[in-house]
Amino acid sequence: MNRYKFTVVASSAFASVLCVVTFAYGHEIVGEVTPLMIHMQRVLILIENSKDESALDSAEKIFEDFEVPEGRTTEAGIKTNAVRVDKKYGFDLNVKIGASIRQGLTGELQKGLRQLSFMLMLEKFDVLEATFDDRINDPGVQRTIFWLGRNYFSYLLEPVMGKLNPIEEKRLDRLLDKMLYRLEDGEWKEFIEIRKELSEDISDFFKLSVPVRN
Amino acid sequence: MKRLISCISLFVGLLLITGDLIFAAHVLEPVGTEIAATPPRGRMFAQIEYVYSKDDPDGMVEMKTHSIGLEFEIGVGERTQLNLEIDVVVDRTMGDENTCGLNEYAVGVKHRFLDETETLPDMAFLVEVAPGTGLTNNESELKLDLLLTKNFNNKFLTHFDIGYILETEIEDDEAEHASIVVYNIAPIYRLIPDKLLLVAELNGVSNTETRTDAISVAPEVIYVYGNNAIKVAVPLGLTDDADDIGFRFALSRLY
Repeated sequence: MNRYKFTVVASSAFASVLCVVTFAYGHEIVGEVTPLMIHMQRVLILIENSKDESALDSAEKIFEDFEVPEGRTTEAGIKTNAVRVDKKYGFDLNVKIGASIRQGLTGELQKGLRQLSFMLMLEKFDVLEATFDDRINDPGVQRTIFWLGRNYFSYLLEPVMGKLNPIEEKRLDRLLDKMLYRLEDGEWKEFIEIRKELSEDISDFFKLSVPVRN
Repeated sequence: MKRLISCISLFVGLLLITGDLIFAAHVLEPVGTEIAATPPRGRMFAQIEYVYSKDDPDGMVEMKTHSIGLEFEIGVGERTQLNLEIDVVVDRTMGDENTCGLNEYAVGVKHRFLDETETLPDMAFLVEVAPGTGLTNNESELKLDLLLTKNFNNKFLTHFDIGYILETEIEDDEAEHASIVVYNIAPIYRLIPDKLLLVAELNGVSNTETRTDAISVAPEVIYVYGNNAIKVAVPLGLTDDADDIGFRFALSRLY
């Protein structure tokens, strides 16, 4: 093997090892992507590609709690999550999403799933904000909760936004970065202000409802 | 031909190994153009690049260069990054002469001072210093760069950077200065948004001292997967002062 080949192979192998060994979801997705998120994303992509029948079929399978073959565990389905969100924020997502699946209204299903993703993100941020008052707040736990919330945006809403309006998508991505910095710096008030701005901007973009906060 | 095949095999192999597709929010920078975006605070962008170029400067002797470039961009603030670039010549052949070794290293700071809006681009400036070392032992550089990025619609965006380099060469204890202007324009078409990007880079270097203008165009493909990217570019010289042809292959990752 001459020097050229050795260089190319060695450098590429080194870079590949770096990429593969440390392969994590990185900037966009940090931490857990739940099976429900994966399935919801699939449904949204199918709707986007006008594969209505497959989308409805896939949504029906995850509406009730469903089994995950790999871990042989039961995952909370759309209904369980929607009922919890409805109860907490006074919505009727469970009824709306259920009806859209039964009646084959993919437009309504898409809107319902986006609203649910948005609410699940806000729910995590509410949990996070509740820790601000605690005397003992573990920064590691706070970051984990933050990413659990952010992932709903990054995984289910951001890709569509990036396709339609990359400038707005970049702005909101940076806004989320800013929220993380404020969290890491313990600047709770600023965090809450940015969260408010983020919620309004996401709801404006996707025409979603924002829950009234106490 | 063997070289081309080995490179293509590596490219395909890497695609297979790392083929898990995740959406990426960031458009990673083209190989020859600096972008205005900075990595998030506490994160690092790393890139390893193989560069091959072929030229016959005087029309008589052919010069072939194989080099490896390493680039690290560390987000140290909400809008500020530290840069470290290392360029190693693995093999430069010109006639019977062979050269290899550290070509140069550069350290710098980039600060984004304007965020993109509907009308205004992302804007940043970069200050970089490359001390004389290795193969450029008696040459040092100070570079000032203005960087812009603008999305024109959901399919097209352009990166643009224009820089001034003050090059100082020490010859027999005397310092000689040269002013160099560099400019790079990289229009990008998002063929598959967040996954596959087509780029057409225009790279120019104008040296007032040697009165040379090296201008090249480089069609490029960027394949993004999650926070990783594979980039392949083929620079083609448009002027006599530019390398005739080249090949660039880079792997990038945001840590």
